[in-house]
Amino acid sequence: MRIAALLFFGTFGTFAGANALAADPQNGKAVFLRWCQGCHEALPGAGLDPPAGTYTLQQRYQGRLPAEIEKRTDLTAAQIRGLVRHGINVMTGFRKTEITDQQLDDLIAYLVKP
Amino acid sequence: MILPPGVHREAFSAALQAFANVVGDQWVFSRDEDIALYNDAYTPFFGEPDKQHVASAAVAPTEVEQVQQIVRIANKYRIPLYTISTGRNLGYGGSSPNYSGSVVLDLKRMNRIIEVNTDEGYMIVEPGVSFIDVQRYFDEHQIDYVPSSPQPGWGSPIGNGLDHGVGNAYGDNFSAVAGLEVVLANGEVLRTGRGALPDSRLWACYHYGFGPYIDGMFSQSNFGVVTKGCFWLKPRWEVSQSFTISSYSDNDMQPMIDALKELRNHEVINGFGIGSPIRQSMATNDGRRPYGVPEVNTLLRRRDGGSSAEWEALAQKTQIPVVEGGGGARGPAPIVKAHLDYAVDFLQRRKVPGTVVMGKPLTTIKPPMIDFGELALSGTSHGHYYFSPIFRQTRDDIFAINDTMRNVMLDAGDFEMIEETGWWASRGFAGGGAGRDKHMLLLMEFRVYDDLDKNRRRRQLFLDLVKACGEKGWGEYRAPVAFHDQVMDQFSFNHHILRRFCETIYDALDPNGILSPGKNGVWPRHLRKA
Repeated sequence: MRIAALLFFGTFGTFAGANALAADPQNGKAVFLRWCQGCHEALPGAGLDPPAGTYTLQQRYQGRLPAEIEKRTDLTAAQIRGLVRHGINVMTGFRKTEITDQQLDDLIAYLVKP
Repeated sequence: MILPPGVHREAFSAALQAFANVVGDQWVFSRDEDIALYNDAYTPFFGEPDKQHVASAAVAPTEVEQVQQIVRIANKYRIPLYTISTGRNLGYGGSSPNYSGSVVLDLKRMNRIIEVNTDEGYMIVEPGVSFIDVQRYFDEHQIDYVPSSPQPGWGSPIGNGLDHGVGNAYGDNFSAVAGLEVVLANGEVLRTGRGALPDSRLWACYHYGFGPYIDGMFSQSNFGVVTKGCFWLKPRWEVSQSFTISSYSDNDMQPMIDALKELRNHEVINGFGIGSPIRQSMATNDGRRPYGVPEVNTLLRRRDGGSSAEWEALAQKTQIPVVEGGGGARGPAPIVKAHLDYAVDFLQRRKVPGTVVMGKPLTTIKPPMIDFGELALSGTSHGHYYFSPIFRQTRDDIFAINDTMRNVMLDAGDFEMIEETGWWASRGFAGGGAGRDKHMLLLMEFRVYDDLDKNRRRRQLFLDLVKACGEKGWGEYRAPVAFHDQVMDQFSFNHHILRRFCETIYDALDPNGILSPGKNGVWPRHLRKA
């Protein structure tokens, strides 16, 4: 079977600036699934290796805060913006060719709980 | 913003405008805050900005034709470019250039999976496609192949393969390459292998074209900009299973290696490992927790590294083996079982000393990322880089390189590094090994700290190790951008003819020296040291 893919990744979303769109949490969820979930997904069942980010936060917080990013209710837009662009510890920042400014706004809309 | 060396501001501005005319204003990055995103997140020069390798700007095309135009503009204005695929070569320079002031040619937006052929088992992808993208595509289309991914999968088949990276399915990922598309420094597009024929429907089906095989010239290279890659794929395996064989006598290491190599050479197992668990039991350099045997560090701090009798006594006392080997198989469950049954029987028939323990059959393929989590908790704040020489799969070579490295660390008085590193052979068998036939690869981690003096000492230690090991024939398989020159210096046979040969080709292909100057120690004529 030949699957001609010609699939573009990451073409959703537009750019921040004069024509910036309102932040869309649904797009933000798509950004999370593509870029964040690999390290920050839920802890798996017993006997399976946990994802690096969730495991790190679990060890660090020891129950004081949820280890899973999507369950956090205390995150601010500034925190997320700083972490995504500049990283922390062994998590690196993300360039604008990876997560555009608009996609970052969408991600913030998804992760910051009103 | 810095300027490319030797380029006037007006010329640079004109070049950036010309780039913007090709890709659109929003995909040329020249503001300081945007350029900073191209800094090496794991730079060995943390806190020393004047030493860091930094870009002057970045440009991000989506089409091959745009890459051709960018290269031609760079030639016109003499702008050095530095090409990245996904920019995730962390520990080896990330997205930062060898030559400060280069404009990063960021291919992340060239992110198409062109074709996946499940009948033949290959894929053709662009440089911005990550291993995670491939895995998701395979999952979505229920494709029974696996991308050969290193942790954590945000790198790319093209970038990783070209840098001779290692993945969980193929091992040496460049060995899976069966054809490339390359934009040359003059803007022409080259397709290698069968891709050079008018109808390239066999592009990914056969490695060679006609005449010299040139794909390898574009790996660890600045001879062109790779814009497509054909990769052969490994099938998704139903199960993987590994075994270990361990002993409390140092003398058992060589017969163990001999037997495991024979099993590998006869393709009964698809990789093997060997180590000394007691000597490695206090190492922490990949985030592992030490076992709490303080005598280990006492012995490793000695010039002689401890006698076999001392290690064997300590092994008996702690019940941590002094030698452990292992291997594995993967594939359909009945075949894996048959291979491992044969392997165990073979070890018994050969009277290989040691106790065999069979691991659990594993059905998960996703590479574990627990090491990254452990690393994050291990006291580094700024990442890491690797010293990674290749050595032989013999007891003598394993001990010799460990002795050499330990003595370099002792000379430097760096006892902490000895304790972090411990003693190296191979670390594990990855559910059946991942290739790396005929040699061993050591990944010695250098963490980057807030303490700048410590970072400076560690950089010097890195260079001392490169030199001491290089003199004995142990060169790196890959290196951080900051140390490319010193690593290339070790490959000195016949008055450095390897580098001189590469320079001759580079000069012919790229007379203005615009493509990734300095990559892997190959510089354009005007930037070469005398």
